[in-house]
Amino acid sequence: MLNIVMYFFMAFGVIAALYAVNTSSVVKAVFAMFATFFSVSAMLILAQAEFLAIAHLMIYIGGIIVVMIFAMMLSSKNIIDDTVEVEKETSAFRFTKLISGIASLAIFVLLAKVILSQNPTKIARTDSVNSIQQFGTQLLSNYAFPLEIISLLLLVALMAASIITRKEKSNV
Amino acid sequence: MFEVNSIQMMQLFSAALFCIGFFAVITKKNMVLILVGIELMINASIVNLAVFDHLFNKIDGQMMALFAMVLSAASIAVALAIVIKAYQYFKTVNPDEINNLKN
Repeated sequence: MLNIVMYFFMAFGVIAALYAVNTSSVVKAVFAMFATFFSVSAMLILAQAEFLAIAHLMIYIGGIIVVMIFAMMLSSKNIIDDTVEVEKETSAFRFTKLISGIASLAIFVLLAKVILSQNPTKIARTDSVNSIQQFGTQLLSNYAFPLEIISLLLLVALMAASIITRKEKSNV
Repeated sequence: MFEVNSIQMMQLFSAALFCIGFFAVITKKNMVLILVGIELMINASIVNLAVFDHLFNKIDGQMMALFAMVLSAASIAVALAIVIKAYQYFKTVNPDEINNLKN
């Protein structure tokens, strides 16, 4: 039963990702990525990383998708029109695309060969500690310094983003 | 909860997402779609970290994945700001056509 759910979400995510990279419209690509993020979040739940799954849902679907859509829709009217990809179907471009497809398929085959050659044995969960509880304890003891650094970095990055996109006054 | 096969399937899912993202990054001629590809690759790494964390029954992989997620959010905010500014300046989002640093 759980395997069926897993296979469903895997197929959903891979198909949505393939659609996202094959469509030429940016808005369609972003909405297809929404589906991919949802299935990634389901994968995290199936890997027993519940807190991570909820954080992923909040950061990606609640944050990044909204930021991408708003950034395109609020900035300028014709950025949507201009971001529709003009693929000049020249033979050179098609050749590049074919070579890139073969290269990424080769990387996938290599990774799949490595993955399937391993035989991972799951270490049985010995403690009955809740994962989220353990997560919080670790975050405030062993990982307190990285947490502070990463929060500072996020603050600086968001300030930088808002400063970069600010409209400049003409003569000051 | 899982037998071995499921863990391998999740690793394969992660590898597939990574390769799709890689394909998007090297073929797309639109900066926003390249960002989509980068996000797919980061998501693949997050899934991989969580799966290995589940395999070895530790919490460190999840911690790493959380930090990767925050870094990805920060990078996407700055990258989108740069894309919008570059569009206003060069009137194009094709990275092949943006080839001068000055003027």
